[in-house]
Amino acid sequence: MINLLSSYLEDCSTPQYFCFAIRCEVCGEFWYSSSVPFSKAAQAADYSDKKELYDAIYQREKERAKLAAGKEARERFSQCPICRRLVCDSCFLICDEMDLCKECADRLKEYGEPVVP
Amino acid sequence: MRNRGYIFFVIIVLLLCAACSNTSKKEETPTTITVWHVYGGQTDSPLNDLIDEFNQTVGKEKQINVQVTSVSNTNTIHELVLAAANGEPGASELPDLFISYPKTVMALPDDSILVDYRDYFSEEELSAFIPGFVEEGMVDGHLVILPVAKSTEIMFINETIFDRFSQATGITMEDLSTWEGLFRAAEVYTEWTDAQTPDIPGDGKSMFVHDYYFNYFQVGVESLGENFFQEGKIAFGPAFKTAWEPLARAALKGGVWLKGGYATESLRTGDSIVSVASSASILYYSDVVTYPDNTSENITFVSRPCPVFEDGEKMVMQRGAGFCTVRSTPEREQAAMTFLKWLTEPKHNVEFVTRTGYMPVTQAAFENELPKAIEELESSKYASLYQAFLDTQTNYKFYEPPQLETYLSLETTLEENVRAQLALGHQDYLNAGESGLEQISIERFETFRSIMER
Amino acid sequence: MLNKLREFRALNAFVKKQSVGMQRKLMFYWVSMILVVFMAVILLLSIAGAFSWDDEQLHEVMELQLKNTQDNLESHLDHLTAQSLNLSKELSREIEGVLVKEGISMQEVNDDPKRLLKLQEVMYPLINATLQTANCNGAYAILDATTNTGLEIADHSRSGIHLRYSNLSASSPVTPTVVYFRGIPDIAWQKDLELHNRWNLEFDTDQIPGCRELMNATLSRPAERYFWSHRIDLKDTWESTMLLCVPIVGGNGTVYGVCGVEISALYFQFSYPTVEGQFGSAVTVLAPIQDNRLRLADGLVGSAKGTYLSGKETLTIHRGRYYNEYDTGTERYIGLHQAMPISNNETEDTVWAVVVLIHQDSYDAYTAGIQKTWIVAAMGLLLILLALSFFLSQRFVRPITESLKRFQQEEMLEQGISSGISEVDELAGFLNARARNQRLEQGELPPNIAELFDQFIERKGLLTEAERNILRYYIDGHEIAEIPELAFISMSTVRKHNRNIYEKLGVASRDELMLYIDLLRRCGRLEELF
Repeated sequence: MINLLSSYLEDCSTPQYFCFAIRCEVCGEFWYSSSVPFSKAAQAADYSDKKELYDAIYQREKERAKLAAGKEARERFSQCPICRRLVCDSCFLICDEMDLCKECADRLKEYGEPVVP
Repeated sequence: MRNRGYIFFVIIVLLLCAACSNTSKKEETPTTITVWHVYGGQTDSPLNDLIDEFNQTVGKEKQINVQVTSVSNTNTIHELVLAAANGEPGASELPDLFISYPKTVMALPDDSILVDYRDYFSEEELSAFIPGFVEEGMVDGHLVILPVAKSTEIMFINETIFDRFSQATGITMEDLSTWEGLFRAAEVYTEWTDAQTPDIPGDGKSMFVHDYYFNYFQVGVESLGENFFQEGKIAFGPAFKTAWEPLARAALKGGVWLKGGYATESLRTGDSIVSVASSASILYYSDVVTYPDNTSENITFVSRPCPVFEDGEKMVMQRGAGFCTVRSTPEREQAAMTFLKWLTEPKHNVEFVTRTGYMPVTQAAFENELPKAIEELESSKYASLYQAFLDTQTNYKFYEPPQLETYLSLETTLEENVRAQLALGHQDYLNAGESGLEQISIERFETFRSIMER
Repeated sequence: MLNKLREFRALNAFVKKQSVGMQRKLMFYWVSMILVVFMAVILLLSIAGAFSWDDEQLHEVMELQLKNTQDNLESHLDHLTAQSLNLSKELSREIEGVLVKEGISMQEVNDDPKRLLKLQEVMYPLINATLQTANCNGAYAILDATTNTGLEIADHSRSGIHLRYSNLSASSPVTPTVVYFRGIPDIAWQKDLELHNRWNLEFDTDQIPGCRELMNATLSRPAERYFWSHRIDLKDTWESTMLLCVPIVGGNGTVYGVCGVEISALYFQFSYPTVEGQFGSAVTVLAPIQDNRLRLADGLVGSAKGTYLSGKETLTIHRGRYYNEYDTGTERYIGLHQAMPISNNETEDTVWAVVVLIHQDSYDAYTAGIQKTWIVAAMGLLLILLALSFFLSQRFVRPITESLKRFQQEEMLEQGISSGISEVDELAGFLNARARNQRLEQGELPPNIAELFDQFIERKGLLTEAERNILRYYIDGHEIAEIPELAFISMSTVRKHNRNIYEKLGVASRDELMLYIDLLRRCGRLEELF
């Protein structure tokens, strides 16, 4: 799931903090991960000769933040086994046979509760 | 567990049986029944002997003990029974058995206190008795008096002295077979005895004594064809006069013993020599006469049938008392019945009557046992009696007194007054002399009659 | 209020279910068995006669009775003696009066009927008065003179008067009749008395032993010498009687005659009825003892009702510790006797005794009766106690044995069923626990646990397919965190599923779920989850 999610993660980071977003493919709503501040943001702001270093640290921390965002996203995004789209908890229904996105559930006449109402 | 319980139980039961067998050798106390009777007075008592015999034989077997608690005479028993039945203060308790005449039963306030013998004697047993005797025991439709012995009136004569008299005056025993003859002889006797002691005037003896003037008059009047009773009182008809005259003549002259007591007394002292009394009084006649000078003489008694009136039928009184049984517990009543049945068995009945001068009460006794017994009689006195008895039975008609309520009171009054009047008459005669005899006789009769009619 | 009631009922049910101690019940049973044995012992003792009437007690009762009887009899006879002595004195005075007036002596009265009559006339009222006031049935006076000395019998014939009561009965009437037994008849006719059927003019002194000797003696006072005769038969009658002979003493020491009273056998019989006691009828006897024999024929016997005593027997005396035995040869009696002097200065000294007798058989019957009562009572109690024991065993012991039997048949494995007896329940509990342990050791599941597993497995049916999918991941050993990776669902979804799974399977936490799974895996029952 993490790998799948990471492919959906859109990068919304700034040089000061890292932030990612995923868009539910059903409701279209964006979800933003928790901003993780760049630890060296202040230092990086100063143009310095260590820019490459700080860029590398930035990349390294971004990767790490991406993973963390992926973990966060894991909390609230599921993949519909039918249409294989990534949906948020509000659009993901817990049905008896299988958990489906609300459009597939509707289409297949399966009824259930959304994970998050 | 069950089986053991049963075994245990059986053992207990066996032990109990063993224990009970120990106690079974206990002799029961006998049932005691009490008797009042008249058979024996103060002399021998054949009934007492029979009672002893019963106690030692059947009594021991059946746990019965008969106890005599009074031996007296019918009048005394009559008084005692009435006193007891009426619950008078000082009265004795009624015994289980007592001798009685119908007159006593009739005078009882409540005769349901007596056992009806038909409850205990079967038809067969009762038919063994002579029917007339059983009938006499019926009072108010209940058989309450069981006959055990019958008597009639007999004339007893002191033959030894009479022979002397006969030789001297020519009067024979035949003369005594009529009342008129007898009373005439009495007059002669007085004169003869007076003459024996010339220095003592007026000590002539009375030849004749009668125990029951009531019977004399009753049977006499009836034998002359008239009714003695009329509406519960005495009918003083001509027949009564016929009976009165000869008696009065002799009595006024002193030829008849008028003092109280039984006839046996004056014969015992040698004062009288002829008596008419119940055949049962033979028991009381002694073969010895004791004179005032303490000399005694052995004498012979003979018995002859009762005299009759010249113009009258040959009729004589028939009486007999029987046993009454008082109701109590079934045990005691049964014991009493056992005794009575034993007593009226022909063998015992005859044994008893021949010693007391009665006749037996059952056919079987009469026909089978009595003739045998008479042959065996040792005493000539008794032999003479039974001869007279048989004569009477053959030639005489038996008179049975009626069952009147007033019978008893009439009897008592008559007995008292006739003697009293005649005694007074005797006094009058002694004072007046020969001439006044008729007059006095009539006077005394009138007085007597007026007393009786009150 | 309702709640309280409900609580009370629950408490009651609880208490009932509590078992009563076996020990207490067993004690009841034992006590009853002991009583049974006790009663059986008493029964045997009764049969053996240990509880029969004590001889000593009989002795006490008999002594009391003897004392009473003796007191009565002594007082009776003393009174009679006193009255006879009085009669003697009065007769003496009257007779002397007549003799002095006529100027003659007693000798000269012989052959003189007129003078004899006169004497008898003065004697009569005194004798009659004595008879009426004394407790006897006859009174008499004999003069030492006869009517006719010329007769053969003259030497034993003496003139006198003898009055008797006729018609005695057990309950005497108020005024019984007086009858003239001996005497000059003129007096009887004067007084309107009946002559006895065996009347005689004079007494036959041969019939009264000792009488003539008394008349020939020289005495100063009547009390100096008097006696009661042995029982004599009255000539020519069926009666027998005892006569008290008291001399009639004149001024100069001569004896004018003899007087006294009589007690007949019949009168004595009526005066001394039997005393009923528990051990039979006690008979009173007054008789002389000679050569250690009681001669009843020479004395008087009271009422013998209830026995077969005839009054003529001679009883041989065997002395005993508590009572004596009296033996006729055929019958035996028990009782006590006591010597009682009733005469004074008799020529032949007789030892008189008052005796109280009971028939041996009736005494035996009484003791047997007591014995029987004891036996019956013991028997009765024994049977009752036996019944009680049986009943107790039914109620108390049976449940024990039954519950033990049931126990054997393994009915008590279930909790909640109690036998009502605490020890048994304890044992049951103990055995149950042990069995349970044994079963556990053998790899068997304790029953509760198995139940739980069964329930768990059953509830699996409640899960939806989606939930079962998640459960499968857990069974495969995955952690919760791994599920999103594997199932491509969000963590929230997983959590929600978990919540539903827990609820439906009845577990409180994932740990418990995993425990169940683990245990099921161990028991080899994991397949049942699918």
